[in-house]
Amino acid sequence: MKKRIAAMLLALVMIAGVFAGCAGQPTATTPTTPASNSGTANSGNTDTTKPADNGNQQAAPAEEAIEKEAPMLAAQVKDGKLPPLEERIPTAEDVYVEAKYSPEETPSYGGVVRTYNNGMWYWGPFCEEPLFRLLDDGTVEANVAKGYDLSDDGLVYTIHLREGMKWSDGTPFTATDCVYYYNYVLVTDVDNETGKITKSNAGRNYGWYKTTDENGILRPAQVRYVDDLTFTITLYSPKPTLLQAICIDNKWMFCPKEWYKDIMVNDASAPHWSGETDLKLIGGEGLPTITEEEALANALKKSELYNFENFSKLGDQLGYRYWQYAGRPTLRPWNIVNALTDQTLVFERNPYYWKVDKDGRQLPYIDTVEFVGMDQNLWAQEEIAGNIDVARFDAGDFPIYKASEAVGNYTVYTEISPSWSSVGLELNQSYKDLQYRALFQNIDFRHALSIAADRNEINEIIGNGMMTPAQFAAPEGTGDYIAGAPQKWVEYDVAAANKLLDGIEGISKELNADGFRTFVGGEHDGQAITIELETRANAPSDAQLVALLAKYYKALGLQIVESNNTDNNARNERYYAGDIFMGAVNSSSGSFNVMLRPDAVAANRNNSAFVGKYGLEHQDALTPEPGTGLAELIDATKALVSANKLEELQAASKRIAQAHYDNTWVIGFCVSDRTYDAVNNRVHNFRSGFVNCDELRFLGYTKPYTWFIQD
Amino acid sequence: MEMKDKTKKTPVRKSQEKKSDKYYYASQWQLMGRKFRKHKLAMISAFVLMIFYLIAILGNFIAPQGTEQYDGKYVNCAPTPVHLFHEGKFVGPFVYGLKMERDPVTYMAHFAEDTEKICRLRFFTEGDEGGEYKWFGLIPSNIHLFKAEDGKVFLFGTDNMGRDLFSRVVLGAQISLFIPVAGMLMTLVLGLAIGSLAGYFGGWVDTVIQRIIEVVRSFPQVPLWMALSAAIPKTMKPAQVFMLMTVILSLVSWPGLARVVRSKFISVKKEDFIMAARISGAPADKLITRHMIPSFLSYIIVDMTMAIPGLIIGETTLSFLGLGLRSPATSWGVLLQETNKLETIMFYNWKLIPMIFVFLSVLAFNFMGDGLRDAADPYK
Amino acid sequence: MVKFIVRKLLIMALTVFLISLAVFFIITLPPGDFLTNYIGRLLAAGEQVNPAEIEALRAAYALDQPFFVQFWRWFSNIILRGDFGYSFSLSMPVTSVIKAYIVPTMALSIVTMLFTYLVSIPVGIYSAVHQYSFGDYAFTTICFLGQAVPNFLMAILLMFLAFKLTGDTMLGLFSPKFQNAPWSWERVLDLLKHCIIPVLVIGLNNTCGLIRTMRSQMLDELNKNYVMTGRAKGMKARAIRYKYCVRAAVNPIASSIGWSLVSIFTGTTITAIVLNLPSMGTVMYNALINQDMFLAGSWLFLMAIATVIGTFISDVLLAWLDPRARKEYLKG
Repeated sequence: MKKRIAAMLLALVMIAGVFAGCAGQPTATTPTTPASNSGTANSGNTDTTKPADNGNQQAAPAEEAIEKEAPMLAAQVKDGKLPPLEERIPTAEDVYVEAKYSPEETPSYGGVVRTYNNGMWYWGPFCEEPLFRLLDDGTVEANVAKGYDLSDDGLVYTIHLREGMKWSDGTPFTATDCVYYYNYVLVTDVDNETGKITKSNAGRNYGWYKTTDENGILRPAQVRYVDDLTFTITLYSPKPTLLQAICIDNKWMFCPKEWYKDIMVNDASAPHWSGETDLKLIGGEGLPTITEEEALANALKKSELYNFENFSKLGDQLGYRYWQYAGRPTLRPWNIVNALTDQTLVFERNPYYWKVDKDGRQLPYIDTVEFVGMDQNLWAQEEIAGNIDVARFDAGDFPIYKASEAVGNYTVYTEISPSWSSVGLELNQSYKDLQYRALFQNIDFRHALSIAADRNEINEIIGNGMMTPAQFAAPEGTGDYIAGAPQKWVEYDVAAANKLLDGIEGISKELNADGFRTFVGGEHDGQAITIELETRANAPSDAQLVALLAKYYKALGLQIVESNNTDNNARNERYYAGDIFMGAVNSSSGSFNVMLRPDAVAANRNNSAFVGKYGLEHQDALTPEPGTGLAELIDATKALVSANKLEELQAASKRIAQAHYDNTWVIGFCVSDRTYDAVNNRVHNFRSGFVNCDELRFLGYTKPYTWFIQD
Repeated sequence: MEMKDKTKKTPVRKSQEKKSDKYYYASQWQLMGRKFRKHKLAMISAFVLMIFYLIAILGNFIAPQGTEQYDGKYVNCAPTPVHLFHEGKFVGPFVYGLKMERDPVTYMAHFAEDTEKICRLRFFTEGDEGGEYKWFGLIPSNIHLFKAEDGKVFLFGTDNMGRDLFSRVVLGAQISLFIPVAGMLMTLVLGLAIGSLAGYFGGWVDTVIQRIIEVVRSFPQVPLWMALSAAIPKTMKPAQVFMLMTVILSLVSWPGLARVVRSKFISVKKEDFIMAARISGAPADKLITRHMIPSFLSYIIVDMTMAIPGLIIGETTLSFLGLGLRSPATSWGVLLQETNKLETIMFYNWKLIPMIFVFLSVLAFNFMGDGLRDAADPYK
Repeated sequence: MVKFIVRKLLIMALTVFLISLAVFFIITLPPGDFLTNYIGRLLAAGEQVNPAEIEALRAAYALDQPFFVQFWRWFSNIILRGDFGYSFSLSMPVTSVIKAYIVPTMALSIVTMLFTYLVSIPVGIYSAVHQYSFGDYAFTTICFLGQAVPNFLMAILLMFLAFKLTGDTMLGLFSPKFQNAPWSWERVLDLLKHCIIPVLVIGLNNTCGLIRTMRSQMLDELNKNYVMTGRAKGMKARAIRYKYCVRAAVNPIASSIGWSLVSIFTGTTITAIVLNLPSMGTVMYNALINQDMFLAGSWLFLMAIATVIGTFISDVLLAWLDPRARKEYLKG
């Protein structure tokens, strides 16, 4: 397993190296034909038949033997409600042929796959279609895009699109949609003056298009329309990881302009307007002027589902988290058709989906995907009862699922997890209460917490003995690995921990009547030290860990309390608030590659518990307390974001990993390099053994649109 | 044989005579006691409840483990049977040592008896470290009723943290059985005070109290309990949570009682003996506490007993939902949190044991209430 | 009768006002204001909220104002505009949430109530007429047992039983297969199948109570003098029983209809959480824990209103069925 991760990351570094090489040598030959640089649409199918068969010749009687599209769509075509298949998918040269993942059989269309509803970040990636896609062998594959060219100086990316591709409502997908997204949704979301995100949340991806100039100042990229099938991204300086950034962070670098033009603010006189007003750059006709009020009213006209309190909400929900809303055209294999309040979210096939299998049959095979709303407690039992087909779990639940495999008529598959820790504890370094904050920032305090936990017991109780006791650190074999880091502070030693705490100023050596240490001096003078830890909704393992920690830390004279959230979104949102929670236990955290995806370990976002508000340093200019190591983390993060060369990227990610090693902000207890999927046996062509992480889009990486049902 | 019978008959007849004499001279309470004793089911229930409460009071002594004691080595361990004979030889009560085996495929832990190792049960013995407690919150002690020598005895198995379920059931009884009683007492005080005020004074006092009662009664019980319990801060100590839960439970249930008391007052007010007391100049407080309340107290007690099962279920439900007490503090509802899944029942069915105790205590209170109700009207 | 109803209605209005005051007090109980959490939401994924916006929000919800001003803002919005505020955890108006859940909640409650009355009245009559028979004992025992098991446990046990018998846990209101299917006979059957557990669980407690009331009412009636008179005049026991006794005994039961609807309505709360029913119970539970106070408060408020209306219905029914009660009331 470790070898696999290592190989994968090595490959990634090499690929990045290629870009760096390109950038560094302006004379390097850059192929001008599309789809030949690195990741290309049809690259996977050089050995398969040309997909031309499903083009105009499709009507040939010999081809009628196997259906090329779902019966439900064929019926609509017959009724004249839908244009014929060849008019719905890209041209024969440009259609995406799914070569690698196509099943060997010729499956029939139809059926429903059910899984639980674990929030939008579960079903979003499940059917996501990015412009480019990161593969687990480290390459970047063109997905929505057909391919790209990179100019000799490494500054201009020319992106080619697929001819004849359509949005799910049948309107053509063109370069206009990409250029519009960048200039009128993403850029206008960021306030020119302050650099802060003003409304739609799309702007948070702006950073990925910025590169530093000679003076170290970040300069945005220019995105320009060339023709309907071509647009360019022009950087100020070369950025070796631009495509990866698009893969990982700005997966949807496009949106249906026609649909958005009357609900996105487009008002050059608005105070936070920072977009370009040169309408020519998006191609086609100009845009109407839209104020916030008009945008809200227009949205409501489209559907009563779009009832938002203010434009900020509209921008966030429709502009950024659009896949939650029925009616918004997408390029995805399935789209939601009902309201978010419904218990079961229903996703139905996109009749204009632009991918075909090796036989030229339109994908997906499955008509409908349903995400059934249920408490996390019920996942296992509903998988066993056959009411859902797919359930994901980790070591803690493994025995139950595995032992019920036969009863539940499903198969348990093993996937790879690149976590730095699978069971850990994070203390918020920016907690609003300064007395607690000082304590959390004290390295001796964290040292004490780390060695006062019995990792073997945690492994037995939470990991069923299937994990490895380890500190929070990149696993051996990955690029960010530091020798000895996973073994730091893992020896169980309560006496030493108590000694460490005794040496900390501002807290008592003696215990109070309840057996707890108290603060000495300050606002909380004489009060017991009580740490509230956030847990996930109905995650028994989180509650178990807090209970265990409460026991371990009671031995140190510290009181631990669980702060339970029934809703995982609510928990995340408490994270985002930065300073309102003390700490959290985590189930899985880390980075699959700091260089490409530093979010969980660096200070570039405020969504990891330990970094809290300091994650927003780049926009809020916060000054962390000296001597806490946080300044180094922030600095290294800045260096990473503004790096123009591969060596700089590598150096910056090393600094981040080192900062974690030096400071142990996140206390790791145990780590497992596996996660598991239980998939009902009626679902076929499920590809297991993938690296299960956000960067590769979790289950989306298995390409669910190639699954099929056979009862 | 006949002789014996004859000799026995006479005293019986005598006692019958005495009994009937006693019957006519007996006070109302004595009559009630007599009638209650006749109600077999009620008597059994009262006995069961007595044992439960005794166990709860002596909980720390009876339970082999404290609430925060657990051992990661024994997670989800099935109940360990207590044996008397080893290979046909009597050795007294003992358990075998436990050997944990993980299934090589499913990694599920099984605890097999290690018949090589005999762990005798020791009684009235020093408990393990961490089992310290204070008798009635005063005298520190670590003597426990029983303990397996060099081994573990889990009469009811363990939970997902390796905690002894038997201990937790026993300690949980302290919460689950006493919160309802405390709640009931508080309800009694509130209900009597407010109900008698309204009933005695009448007029605007009555009207205002009536409105308040109506408002409080308009709140659906369970959701109101939920809303109030959700507001309990998480950092509170179990003792404080206990108090608050009591207040919350009684806050919802006093209006019912107050209403009954009020109507009783109104009807009693017209009775002759009250009139007589009033005429002879008894002050209002005396009239209420000495004459009026005692005249219908028995009904009130019956009412209250019948209300306890509802409170037990209420507390259990709230704890089950995670709105009442939290782990490691324990109550029957907290213990039942783990049963909210099919898998638990499939693989760890012993975790349903606390349910039996909820069931039995509710049933016992119901039967006892029934008996008391019959007894409350001894002249019928 | 009109005077009675008018007077009741006036009192009802006052009660509603007082209830809303109490509800608002309860939802402001948790420490800190919900805005703290909401700002967290706005900050999600790096979105920035400026102080002016927070101030605007504070003003919009009158958070910087005294309790009564805040209350009045909330209450008047409900009364005048039917606006229950905004659910911060679901990002939509509370009214939309209520709309989405009210129908299944009500439907489940009504089906349960039908079950309750259809079972308890005949069983109660049977038990009274056949007092101390085997059937009477059997029903009494079941009732005692039914009342002794908390709803959530009953739900879990029945769920397990369903799994053992059918291989399905019967959660929710439909099988996944029928969840979004168009209405058909199979779907109705599926719905009925899935209703068994919730109806049993929610209804059992009430049914047990009603059976016992019905039984004792009926016994009272059977022992009354008119029964003897009727018998003496040569009427058949059967005729007396069903023509007079049942009618008289049913009165108090019938008048409890408002009350029991409410108790069923709220009884769905716990059961819904365990059985994953699309009911407001689950929503309210989540809202409470997430401190989504407008949502939780609105639901509490609605249920209290339902109780008031239920009581009103019961009172009117009772007054209509029994003129003595009406007179008593008007006298004060």
